[in-house]
Amino acid sequence: MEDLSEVRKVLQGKSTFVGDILDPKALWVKVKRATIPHGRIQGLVFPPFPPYVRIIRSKDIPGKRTISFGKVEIPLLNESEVRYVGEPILLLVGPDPEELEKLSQQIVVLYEELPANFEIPLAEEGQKESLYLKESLYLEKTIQRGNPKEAFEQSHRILEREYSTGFQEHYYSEPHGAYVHWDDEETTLDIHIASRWPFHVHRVVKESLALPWELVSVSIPPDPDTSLDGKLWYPSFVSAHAALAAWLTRRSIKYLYSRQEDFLFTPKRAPSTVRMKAGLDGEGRLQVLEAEILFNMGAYPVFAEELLDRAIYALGVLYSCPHLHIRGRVFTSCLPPAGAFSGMGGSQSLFALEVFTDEIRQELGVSPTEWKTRNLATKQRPKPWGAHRKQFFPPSALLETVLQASDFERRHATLELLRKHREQNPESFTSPEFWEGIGIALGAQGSGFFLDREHRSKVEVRMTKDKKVSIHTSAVPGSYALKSIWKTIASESLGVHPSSVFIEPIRTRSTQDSGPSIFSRNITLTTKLIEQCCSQLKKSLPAGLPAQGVKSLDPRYARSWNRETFLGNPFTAISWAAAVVEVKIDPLSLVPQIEHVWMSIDAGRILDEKEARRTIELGIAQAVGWTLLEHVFYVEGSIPHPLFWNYRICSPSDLPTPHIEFLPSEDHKNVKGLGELALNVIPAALINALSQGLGKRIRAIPKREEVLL
Amino acid sequence: MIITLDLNGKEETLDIDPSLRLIHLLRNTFGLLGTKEGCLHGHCGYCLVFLNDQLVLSCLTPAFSTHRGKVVTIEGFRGTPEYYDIEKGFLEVQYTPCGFCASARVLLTHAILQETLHPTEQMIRKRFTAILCRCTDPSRLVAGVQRAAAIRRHRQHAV
Amino acid sequence: MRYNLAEPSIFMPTTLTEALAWKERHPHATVYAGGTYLLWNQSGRLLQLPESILSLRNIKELNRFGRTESRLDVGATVSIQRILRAGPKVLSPLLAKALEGICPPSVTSMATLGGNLGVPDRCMASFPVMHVLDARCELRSAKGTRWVPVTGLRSETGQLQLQPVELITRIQIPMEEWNFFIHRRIGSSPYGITPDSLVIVLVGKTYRGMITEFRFALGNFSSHMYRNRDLETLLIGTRLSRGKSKDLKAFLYALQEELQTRKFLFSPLQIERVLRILEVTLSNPFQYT
Repeated sequence: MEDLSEVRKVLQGKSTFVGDILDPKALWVKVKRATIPHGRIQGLVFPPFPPYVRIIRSKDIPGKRTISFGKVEIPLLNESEVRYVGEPILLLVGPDPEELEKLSQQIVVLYEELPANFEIPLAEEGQKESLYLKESLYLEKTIQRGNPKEAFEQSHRILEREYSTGFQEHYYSEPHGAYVHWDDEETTLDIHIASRWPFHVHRVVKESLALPWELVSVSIPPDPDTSLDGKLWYPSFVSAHAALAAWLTRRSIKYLYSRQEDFLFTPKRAPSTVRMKAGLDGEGRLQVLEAEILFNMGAYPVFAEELLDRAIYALGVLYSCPHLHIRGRVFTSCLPPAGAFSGMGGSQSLFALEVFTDEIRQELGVSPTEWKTRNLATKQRPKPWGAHRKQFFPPSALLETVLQASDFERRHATLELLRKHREQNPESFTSPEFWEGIGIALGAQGSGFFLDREHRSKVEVRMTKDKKVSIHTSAVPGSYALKSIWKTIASESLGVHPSSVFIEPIRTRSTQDSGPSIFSRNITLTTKLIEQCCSQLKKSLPAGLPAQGVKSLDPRYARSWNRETFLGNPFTAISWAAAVVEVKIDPLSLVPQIEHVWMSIDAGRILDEKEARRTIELGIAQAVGWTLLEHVFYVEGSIPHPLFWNYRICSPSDLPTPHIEFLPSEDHKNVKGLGELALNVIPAALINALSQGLGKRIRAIPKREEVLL
Repeated sequence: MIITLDLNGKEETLDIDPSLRLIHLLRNTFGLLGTKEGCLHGHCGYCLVFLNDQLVLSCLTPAFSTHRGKVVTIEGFRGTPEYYDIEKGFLEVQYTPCGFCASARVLLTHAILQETLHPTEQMIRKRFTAILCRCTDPSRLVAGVQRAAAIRRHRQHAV
Repeated sequence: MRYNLAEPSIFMPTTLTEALAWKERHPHATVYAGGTYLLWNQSGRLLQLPESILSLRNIKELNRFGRTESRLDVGATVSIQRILRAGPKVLSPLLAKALEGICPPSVTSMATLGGNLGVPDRCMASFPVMHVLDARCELRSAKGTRWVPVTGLRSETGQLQLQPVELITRIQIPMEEWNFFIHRRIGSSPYGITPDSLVIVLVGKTYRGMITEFRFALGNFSSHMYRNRDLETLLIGTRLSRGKSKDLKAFLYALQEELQTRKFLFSPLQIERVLRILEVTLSNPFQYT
């Protein structure tokens, strides 16, 4: 890490975020939110307001009144039919946020309450699907290979199970908020916000205010927080409110969510139910897999297709299976929108798949290693999605490496004997001091965004006459190490000192649109584009300075992917991981402690191993939180008040130092993403370990204590 | 309500609303923005500051309780030799917390090193459960704190 | 210093005498030591403070902490952190565990044992342990001093038995040696309060393989504390053995009956865990020394 001055600044407490922008003349915005999960607004009764407080309603929006994501239209302000508790109805703008809060509570909203559904409306077996289900079904996709019906008839053994995963709160460090600077002279809006997609914010604001592009600019704070995928599209929503207030009042605006408001109303990881049915041959090989994947994405299912495609794809990425039938469905409900979170669909599916395959091998009485080795996809035993290039198959060394590092086979066999003994002698549960379990899981991560086929991400690198190099991209780095990597690439490629390389502050008026910072696009696509820009610039150097290189993404990989047939290649790269987790369980309280975590990873070319390890370890913490600790639920459409105080993310004392090994990749030229790998393997490995230790199979996460009664 | 406090080494006397939280006194009245406002509920730990040499959550501390007390924020701590031990330790192991929780982590590290210059991994992991943030890889954090401890031991020994 | 506003009125004395005299005149003033309970659940930018506040933070007499051979003496405003930092040479593992469970690590420097005993619901973090250890509290007013066992600090329905003019000033915890002990917190949140939150603590002494003393208490955060001395006597005089002895079975059966009849006070999860914990511990008490 070359440039330490930025890091020093952070440690000295000099980072600035939206909440640190001081503007005593700025007005504040408060949102009046719906208090019921579903209903038509019949009227609004306003108390007397001081003249300096402005109310902004939907009819005041000069341009487009919704944010669009495919078929999903999210109203910026909804005065007709509200669809979740907390949906914004109108805005209040004034100098004192406390006063606005009090005034907001005095506004009476008259509702005609409508029926509200909160769960996936599953039909009972034998019953027809209800009308309700049809109404809340937003998206359905079925993918088939071979002849599953016939394959089941010929199967030696059939196993059927159901798995579920819960919501997860992002818990990024900085709550949502925006500061909009109104320039009286230029009549422009400069929006300061933490967003992973600055140009999306720009587009949404421009459209909602019906403004020319040049009158809007979006600036991203220079210091990364842990914004995660919760700041992918929602900041556009927040910005639109703030910009609207600024435009209508012709004043600068500050709009900050409290942590509680953020927790209650912003998007979470979508919960899922996955039903699996497998048919095996006489040797325990997977012949047919039938699955139904169900997601509850709340009132507005943003990126539903992306989520569903990744979930479906994940079920066919690991094992050879000639016959396949997968139906994926996304439902809406009267809950806040749910969706994007690291792992996005893939992690839910892979959890179900790897716990299911553990149950299969347990039924067969074989070890996990034996079963996986027999069933892993290879060129000789292809997987359902086709693809014949090596990098689309899990490398053989992946499993071997993690088995060796963890001594898994021996440990698993020993603990399995203990588990069986406890099962047969329930009275013996009084000893030993701890119960132990060890579990294994495999997984993969696809880098790249399906929407890339519609969007050409761009990066620019410039060199001035005095050989100062600047990188222009709207990609939000998320860490200093990534900034350092980009600077190093530029400095080495162009033969300048790293201190002569700068990453231009992200300002949409003056930088290139590099698309959203999600699905490891930064480390894969943006890094590649920077390399290409530098090559291009270098070639043009003989012509003299200043010089520049501009490159945009050629989405060949995205164009080859057929979303209806699941043929082609959906990702820029696939990275692979195997994980083993060992746990100890207190037999008194049944509280588990994670003793060891091992991971072997094939992520192609590793640009900075320390940063790669950091990314994996952060992912492990998120994964453990999702599996064991983080419990979000809704009661009649609202998160119960005490949940906010009790929400617990993984802390340093919940985890050991993981043992991480990066395999020398056959795909050694390509940089692959690895930010989601832990989310895609750790939950299943952990649950398999817990199930062994407890002697009881767990099929739902977060693991709730009541499950163990 | 009139209070007098020592804030980062300087005596301040001012008239405050008794209902004011310490964090807002620091940020809004004194413009000390290094202490971040996370949750206002004592949940996240980002707002830790020193009050009378004890780390407290400034969101849960009424400003009036600083009367006749001594408050040290990151702004008062940085620039001290003790701060540089920590900065150097973190940089050497390339531990980079996010800007939101960094101040709290630095001050908590100092509090740990005040207690012992040989913090164990277990102790560090346990203490840092006080700060809830997804930015930190725990093993690097441990390495950073232990390196800071070594640097401080060396410096104090040299003196 | 005293500052009178329409609200709130805040008094920050530096001596106990001053504090007690003021409390005599303002019996309904809210006592403020660490302030964690007072300020915990507030979401507004400005704090909602009671009409009058008596801050004990600057009173040195309440901030003393020491150990004799037979007991631990804790001033009411001594922070949890300070007690924990005394280390294993001073604190028993049982007490250390109980104190760690009172509050999240972020507030241990602010929370106090005296404060925890004085608040509803959250007092269940420390109350059961204080109960079984026969701790006692010094209560002082301007008119005098009295000592009460912790058992007498709350009524059966959980009401604090403190006169409005009184302050908890000291807590004395006997430092007995126990041959086996358990402290566990049940419920998904280690510091928050969920419907299943419960603390179970049990301690026991043995002599030549026989249980000579046995105490256990359950602190249910949503309702009250449970302790049944009659049930405890069922095990006294019985022999320790590996596995479930007849006496243990009888004890567990009686306890289960008791808890089931009070099932409006205990959730199914709590009952299951309590019985499990007692069964496992008492079947193998040698493991929990």
